[in-house]
Amino acid sequence: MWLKGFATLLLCQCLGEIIKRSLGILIPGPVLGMFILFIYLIIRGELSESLQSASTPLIQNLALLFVPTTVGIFFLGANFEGQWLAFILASFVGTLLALVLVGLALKRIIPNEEDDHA
Amino acid sequence: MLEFLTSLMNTTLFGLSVTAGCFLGSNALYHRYQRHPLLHPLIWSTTAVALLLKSLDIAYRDYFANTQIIMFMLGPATVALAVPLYQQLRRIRRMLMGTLLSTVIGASLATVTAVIFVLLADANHSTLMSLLPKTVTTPISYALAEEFGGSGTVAAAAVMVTGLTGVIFGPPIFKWLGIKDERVMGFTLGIVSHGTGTTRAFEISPVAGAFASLGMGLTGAFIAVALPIVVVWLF
Repeated sequence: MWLKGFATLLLCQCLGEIIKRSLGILIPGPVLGMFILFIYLIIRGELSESLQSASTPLIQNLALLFVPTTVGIFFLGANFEGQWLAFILASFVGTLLALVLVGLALKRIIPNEEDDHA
Repeated sequence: MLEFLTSLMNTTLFGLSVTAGCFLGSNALYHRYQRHPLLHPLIWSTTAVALLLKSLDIAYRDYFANTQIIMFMLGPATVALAVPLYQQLRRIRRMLMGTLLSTVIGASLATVTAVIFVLLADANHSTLMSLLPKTVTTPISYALAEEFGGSGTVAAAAVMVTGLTGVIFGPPIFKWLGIKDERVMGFTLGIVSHGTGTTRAFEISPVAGAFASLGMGLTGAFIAVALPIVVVWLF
């Protein structure tokens, strides 16, 4: 019964919105809902079939959910003039730099396979 | 008849049909050509929708209003991210501290590099707030950007470019740096390039893929908590 799982997702989101509102924090309601569900899963110790069947299609088609918003990039117009350089530098050049730095950092942090087995 | 067609174009039915049609078409193209990163469905489905709106003379504002139900699904989809995160965490209990440390350092580096370039380019406040969360999966970065007073649209596009950059340049950069450990490659791709990078990591090996899913999930969780605190403090 996927509807039960979907209702669980909505309930977590509602709780998230309530917590966000009452604490006055900048963490988005759905993100708080994600933490609530995560804690619930840890306490419960297992994943129900209904939750699995409600969440799988949402996660598998995540890209589709972003089509309406992302189309807006073609219609930003004058509001975004002068901002494209920052956009490209941060998302492209910044990512190249991040790959190098994070790769080097993790190479040091994560122990070698051999050490791991020892 | 013309009047009927014009009014049809301004309905939820039309908005959803166009969105689903363009997405399914681009998705088929993507799978037809071995998931080439430059054929990512989000690039071509959004381009197709935009062209359609322009040629039919439909205002983006109307299309956006008519696809609110898709936007609504983003909420539960974000909550649902807890499911893969839970499944991943169960697997790696043994090396939890190492992965948490890697996430905090990696996610911070990936965010700071973006901030440096935004400041160098002298962008405005809204752009900075939209680009700050670019290293996390789209539902989280979208929600954060909107929360900080940025643009969810710019955030979603930045996340897409970040993901594709990691997919295309990640493997050659690892080779150049002499990184051969599949766990390091996967974790780096997951932290820097979220879900898109994770898909690429699964092509390297199942181990790389598992570490990428973990890196992506933990980065999302860490950034979602840390960034709002930093934003309140600094900006």
